[in-house]
Amino acid sequence: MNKNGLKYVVFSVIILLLFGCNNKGTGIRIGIVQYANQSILDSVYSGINQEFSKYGDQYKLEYYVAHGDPNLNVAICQQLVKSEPDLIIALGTPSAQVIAKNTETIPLVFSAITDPVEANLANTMEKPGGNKTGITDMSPFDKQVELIKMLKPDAKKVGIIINASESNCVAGMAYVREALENNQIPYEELDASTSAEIITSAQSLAQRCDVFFISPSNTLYENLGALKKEANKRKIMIVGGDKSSVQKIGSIGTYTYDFLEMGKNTAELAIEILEKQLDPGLIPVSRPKNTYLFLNIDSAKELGIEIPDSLLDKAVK
Amino acid sequence: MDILGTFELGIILSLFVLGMIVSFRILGFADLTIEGSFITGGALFAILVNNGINPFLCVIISMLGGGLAGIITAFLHCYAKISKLLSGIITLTMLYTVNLRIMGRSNVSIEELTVLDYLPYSWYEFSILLFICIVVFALIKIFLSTNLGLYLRATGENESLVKNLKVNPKIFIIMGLLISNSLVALSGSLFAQYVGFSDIGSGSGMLVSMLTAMIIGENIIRPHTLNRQIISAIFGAVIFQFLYSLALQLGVNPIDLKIIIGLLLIILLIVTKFGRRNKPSKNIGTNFI
Repeated sequence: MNKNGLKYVVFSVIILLLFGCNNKGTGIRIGIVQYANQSILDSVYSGINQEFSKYGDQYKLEYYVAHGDPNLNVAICQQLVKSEPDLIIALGTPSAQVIAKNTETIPLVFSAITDPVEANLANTMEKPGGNKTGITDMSPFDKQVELIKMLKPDAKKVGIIINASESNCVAGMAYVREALENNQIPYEELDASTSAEIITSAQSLAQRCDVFFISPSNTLYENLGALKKEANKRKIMIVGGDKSSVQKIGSIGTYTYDFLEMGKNTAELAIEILEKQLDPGLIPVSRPKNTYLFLNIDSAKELGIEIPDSLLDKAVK
Repeated sequence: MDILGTFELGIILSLFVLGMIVSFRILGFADLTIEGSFITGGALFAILVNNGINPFLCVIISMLGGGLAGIITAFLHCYAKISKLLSGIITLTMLYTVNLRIMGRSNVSIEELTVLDYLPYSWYEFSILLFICIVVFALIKIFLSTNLGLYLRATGENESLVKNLKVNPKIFIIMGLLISNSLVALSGSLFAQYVGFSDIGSGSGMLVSMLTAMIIGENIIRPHTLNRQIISAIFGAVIFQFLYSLALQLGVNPIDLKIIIGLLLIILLIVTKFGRRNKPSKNIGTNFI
């Protein structure tokens, strides 16, 4: 075959691919976009998948991952909207934002989004408006703060390291502050946006505080070891964080979500919208139904704190 | 397949590629600042427009913001004698903080009317983008044909020639990076308007993607004249975006998506290579990448 022939063959294959692959099957089509392969989003997706698989062939899932590529994200979202599925589920803020910008008719259910109002995905939490609703992964900070009250009623001061440049941290801290003030617990915040600043902030706070609360700052999560080191030196109690902060860092306890279950809740919400023909804009943005209590008995023993039986009964482990 | 969307995004990104051509090819300066100034453009636009400033003015300010980053890189190279790559990396590193400070948080959604919203219906969005693109490309073409532009091109091809003409080449390095980073910031600001938000992560991997787009464009349009070099930016960006859509169209497992994009790229480059009968002629600009 001469070179020109090869060229035409390849081009015709491309053209065929372009227009031949319109695989619209039967059943209700659900488009799922995930912004990146990240552990939380991955478990939310497997939850969604498990829930839908209960229904067999009734729902047809079309799953895309943008691999954290902003450019690919836009291409995926546009293509998905263009193919007009019956409902779109978006995991991760940038994907949800692009979908919301591109369609006002296809129902959008977002999940694992910390602050939908700030991201312009919902007008208010109670009434998101438009075609969208979803589930937020804002941690149950009020319950986490209550743990301080139950485990150390005589706490002098709670030290919190925050990062003012992270939107999820700023949004979460509003709830933390409210909960602390409701419980009349004195607290002090220090801002740290780099690993080095976290170490100095932890040292500084350790001199004045007897409890550390883990704020939802990613920088802090990456450097929890520094907090642990200071806490061990001065026998300071650490509260809050996620499951791994309790297991690895020695946080005495926390309330958190199960992200697999969050995925199932997302799928349930989507199915409810489709089956009952609900208007998503009128469904309040919800938090996952169940929270789970994790306790670290070893660090309680080390600090000489008695965990009340009422808490031990509720704890997962 | 969303052909309109592919073209719109391609046009937005062609401005990025054009900026890249100015610094990488014409000036011979591998400037990594652009990955940061792309976000700076979007961040400045989002914050300013949310504060009620006229969107057209916002676009201009965001271009200047990006250009300023380019000037800093140029100063680091010309006066602090830091190597080209490293001075770009240093500015890029600092821009991360600057961008976060501009936005105040990691993700800002645009709540006011943007340049793209002035006319209703989706086709108008395309025509506004096309208009901006044509105007910018024409301006760059005109500028590079003036005396100043010729000096700039000479700085990239043969710096000692410029010195012999008793002109300081540093001025043209600064000017070139100012222009290229402004173009990239313009692309960033249009991207933010197009998707409706500015995100601190929206520049990640952009440099490598756009480098690919630039090389695709050059493979298809042999850039042996200035016009062809400039036009190759549009072809490169649109075809690159087209590859993404094509890979998505295949409906493969999401994990395999990137390898499909890679394979499509290989096919494209081989086809363009074999389709060419005559020997490759000399390209303009420096050819170090």
